[in-house]
Amino acid sequence: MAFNRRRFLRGSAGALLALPLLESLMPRTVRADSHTAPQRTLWWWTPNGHNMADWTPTAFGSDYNLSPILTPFAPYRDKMTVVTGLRNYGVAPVGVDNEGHEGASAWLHCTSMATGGDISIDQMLAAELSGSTLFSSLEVGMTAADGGHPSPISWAGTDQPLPKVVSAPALFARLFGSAGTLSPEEAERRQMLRLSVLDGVLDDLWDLDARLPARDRLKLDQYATAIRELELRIEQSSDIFCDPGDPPDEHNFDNLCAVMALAFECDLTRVMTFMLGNEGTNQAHTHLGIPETYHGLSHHAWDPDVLSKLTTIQTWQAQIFADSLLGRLAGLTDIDGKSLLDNTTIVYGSGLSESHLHDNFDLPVVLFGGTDTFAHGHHIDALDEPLADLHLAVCEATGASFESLGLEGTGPLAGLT
Amino acid sequence: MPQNASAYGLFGLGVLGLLNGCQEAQPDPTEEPDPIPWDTPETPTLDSGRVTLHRLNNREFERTAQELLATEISVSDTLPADTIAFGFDNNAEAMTVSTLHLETIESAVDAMIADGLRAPIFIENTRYETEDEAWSGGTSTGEIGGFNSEIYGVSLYHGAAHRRYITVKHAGAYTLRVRACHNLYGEAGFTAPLEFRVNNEVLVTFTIVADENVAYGQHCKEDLQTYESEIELSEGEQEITVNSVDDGVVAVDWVELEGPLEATGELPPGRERLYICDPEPESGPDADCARQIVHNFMDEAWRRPVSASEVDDVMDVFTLATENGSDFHEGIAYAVKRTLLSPWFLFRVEIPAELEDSASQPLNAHELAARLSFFLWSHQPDPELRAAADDGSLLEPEVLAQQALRLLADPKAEALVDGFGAHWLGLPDLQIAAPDPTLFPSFDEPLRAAMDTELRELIHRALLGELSMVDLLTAESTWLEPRLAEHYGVQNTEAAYATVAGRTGGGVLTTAAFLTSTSNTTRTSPVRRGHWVVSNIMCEKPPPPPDGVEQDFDKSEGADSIPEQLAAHRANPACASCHDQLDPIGIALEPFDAVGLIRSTYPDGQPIESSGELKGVGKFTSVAELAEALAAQTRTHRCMVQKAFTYALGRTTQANDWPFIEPIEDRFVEGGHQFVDLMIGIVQSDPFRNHKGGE
Repeated sequence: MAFNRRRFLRGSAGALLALPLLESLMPRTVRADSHTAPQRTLWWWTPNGHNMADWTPTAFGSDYNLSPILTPFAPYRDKMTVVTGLRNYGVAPVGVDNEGHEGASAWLHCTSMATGGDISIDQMLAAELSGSTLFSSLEVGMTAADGGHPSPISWAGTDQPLPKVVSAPALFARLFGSAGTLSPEEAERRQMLRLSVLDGVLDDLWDLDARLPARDRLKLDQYATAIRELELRIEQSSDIFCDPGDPPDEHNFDNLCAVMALAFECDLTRVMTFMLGNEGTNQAHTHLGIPETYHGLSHHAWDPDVLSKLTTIQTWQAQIFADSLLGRLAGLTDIDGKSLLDNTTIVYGSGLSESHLHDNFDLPVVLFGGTDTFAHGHHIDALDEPLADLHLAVCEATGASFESLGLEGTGPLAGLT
Repeated sequence: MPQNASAYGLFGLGVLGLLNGCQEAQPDPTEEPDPIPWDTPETPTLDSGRVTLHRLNNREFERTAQELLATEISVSDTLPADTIAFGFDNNAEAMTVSTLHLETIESAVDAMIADGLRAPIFIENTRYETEDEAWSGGTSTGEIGGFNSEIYGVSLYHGAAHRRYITVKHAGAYTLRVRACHNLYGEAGFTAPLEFRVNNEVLVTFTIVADENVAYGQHCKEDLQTYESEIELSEGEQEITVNSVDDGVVAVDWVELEGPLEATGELPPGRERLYICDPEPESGPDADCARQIVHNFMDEAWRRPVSASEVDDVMDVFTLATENGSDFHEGIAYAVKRTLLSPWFLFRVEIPAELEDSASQPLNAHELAARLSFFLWSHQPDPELRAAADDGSLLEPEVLAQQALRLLADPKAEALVDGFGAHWLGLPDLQIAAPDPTLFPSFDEPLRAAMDTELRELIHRALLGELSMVDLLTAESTWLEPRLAEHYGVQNTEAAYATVAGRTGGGVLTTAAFLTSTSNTTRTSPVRRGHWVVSNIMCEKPPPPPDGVEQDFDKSEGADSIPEQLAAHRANPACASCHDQLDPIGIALEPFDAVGLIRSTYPDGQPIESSGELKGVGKFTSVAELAEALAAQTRTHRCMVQKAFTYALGRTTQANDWPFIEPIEDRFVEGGHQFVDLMIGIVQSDPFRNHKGGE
């Protein structure tokens, strides 16, 4: 074809927008054509903290008893590590009121929301792995609005929260498109024209960039980054072969987990975050016989009846996660013959611990999978080390080394491998 | 950062609406609380501020693209939900762009183009000769009706089925015609069924009759008849089948489909709107006409006159497409897509003439026109407003005011009810309210919808109708749909304005929408209601409660009653400083339960005591008295200005705005709290008409 689609690269690369342009256009370095299975990472977040008395196992080491809330994880005991004693003071120093709910937004960047947050660990990892899969990351949630705070856990940078897909059919469509019956030539023709449209839009962004103040240029920068990521994906998408089966017919939790598992199975992404609700969610759990609002209950004032309701809700949260996601991943065989769960590291937890007090220390965390790296089967005491260090350790399992994260993370948490 | 703090950083608990707890002791508030502290600078510098580059929010994007392409395709549900910051979904700082945004916007644009610029549909007639090779399965193909009949078709003996695939270009009603005959040598008057199937489902069964006037043995030669029926077909590839049944014997000459019968051949509205010239597709792509179409479309979509070189850039896509197999129309579609994905469409671009100069400088007329129309319409400027921008007259304050009044009187101003009023007064919260079905079995979706409509009507009357803004708090009558009337226990079979006993003079405060959305699932929350009024009606920000305080009441058997807990609350000095402001409001609203029904006792039988006193506001014994007192407050009026200003500019207010807001407030109050005065005051203010460079 006699046209230079990448006009914008000619002589002007990097001259206008300070973007990691070339990095994102680099060819994929790794594809699933070898027999080394890719390592995936998933951060699974639940709102409103936990009833820590019923979350925390009573003993450390390998002889611990699963606590009431962790009981649903019994089948995975040898593929999980319970980590207690992590703190996230980057959100706010201890003793400052109400740091707790902001801990939700800061779960993955471990810095203060007062200054608009920062890039979160999943996005750091996604950037590191960029080009290896069609989607550098996926941000998924169960619901858009539930009376809680709509702030996400994934952040592309300061003031750049990333929206999440909150529908199983929409996530499926995003990953696999709609079944097309185009001839290869027609598909290629349309792809070429689509890329040409996007290139033209990049030119507009270029032209505008020089004419606007810095704060506006940040918005243009976000848009340009999005275009380049989409272009890269369009160019790669014809190489992907994976039969996903029929799309889900409706949005529900199990369908959503099925699509998420597919995304890992087909190696469409290696980094995902999931939010079961929004922080401060006011949803009722009538199906569990608990009609009161969840956030109201979470300020339990040590009332035993209320605490028992919280345990019921949080045990159910663990159960559906075990049934719909852990079970699925454990039942899928990866290209190296191991289960997908073995090749996926999952961090399960909340942004705060004791919900009544909004505590941001002794955070509830369970680490699953990634069995090549982690020596599981223990309950370990992290002795007030930063949550950020756990995130750094998780990234190490994929081979990605970061020196620091947020205000406190200085290196991978020891004792997990 | 220019706009004080980050929209996300300030997401703090003030936005969570969860502030039902205590607070550390604070200095006693004065008897007459100051209105909102504006942090008036010691030496006011007249800085009218700047709005960050503003992406169209979902509502603005959908409405504008729908009009540009003359389509009614709804796309806003497919886009990531807009972030609500400072109460509204149009805060420029909070409006981010991510890959997910781009993907969903691109899909939305594709869908709207596919519908808006679709080709005209004509009624077409297609005949399928049954002896064609595309068919298979019949008993035999060839001459039917005997040797040398020269009528070719298929014979279907004893249930044989003849089938083929067809492609239906457009769904709709079609006339099905089948040319067939009874093919058994037998008595005149014999009949046999012939089924017509689509994807193996029988749509029509014809009865094929041997005409008694036709001689024995000659049926299919002289007795072919056309049988006709009307059927519905869906779009795409389908299998059609003709078959006989049991021991019947039928011959079929051809099958014909004519339709879609609804097709008019008219130019669809999108092409009608865009095609300002007649392309000559027979003579190849008509680049001159394409350029006219694209240029005209860009002017409108980018909300300014575009330059020839900008048109060149977009025409590149048209040229590339038509050189690579697209016809004229598809080339235009690509150019339209290119135009709508451009930042010039997706953002409200405002370019400072002096980029480095951080002093205030006026917007140009087109930028101002866009601000005005997106404020009042959530929509792009119309031709008349564009004309006032083209000749520059819009920059004159009188013309600006005339245009603003015209826009406000237009039906498109209804967008203010959704964009401004509904967000301000909490209608999104109603959509996620979930009253406990055991305790409130009457709550259902029709009731939720009727509650929504009640508050929406009130907002409509206050912004666009006969009421003033303070009537939002004190309105006498309310809009009752039958479902809501039933809920309130009044006789009402037709939707109408009505006064309801116990609810007069309370405005928004006695609407079921407000009362339900500020309640918990199992009971009312006086503190939530009080907090809602203080923050949304008086624009005050009670500090968040300290950690670990009781934030909920009545959780278990044996707990103190709500009034007792509230009293204890205020007896504690640590709590009293805030709760003296919050609780009396909540207590005044206690005669309304968690779905807004009037009650005189709590579920445990205790009587409800609803009178109280609010510092700086006075005593009240009923909701109406509370509402009246709130409506007379200076801080209430100022809050209305602040809310409208925040929405109009798409940015939060800041200290520097104070010198500009004060005159707006004066005008608003002097004019009797009419939204129109508030609106004119805002659009004529410097912050609305100016921006700046630097930073």
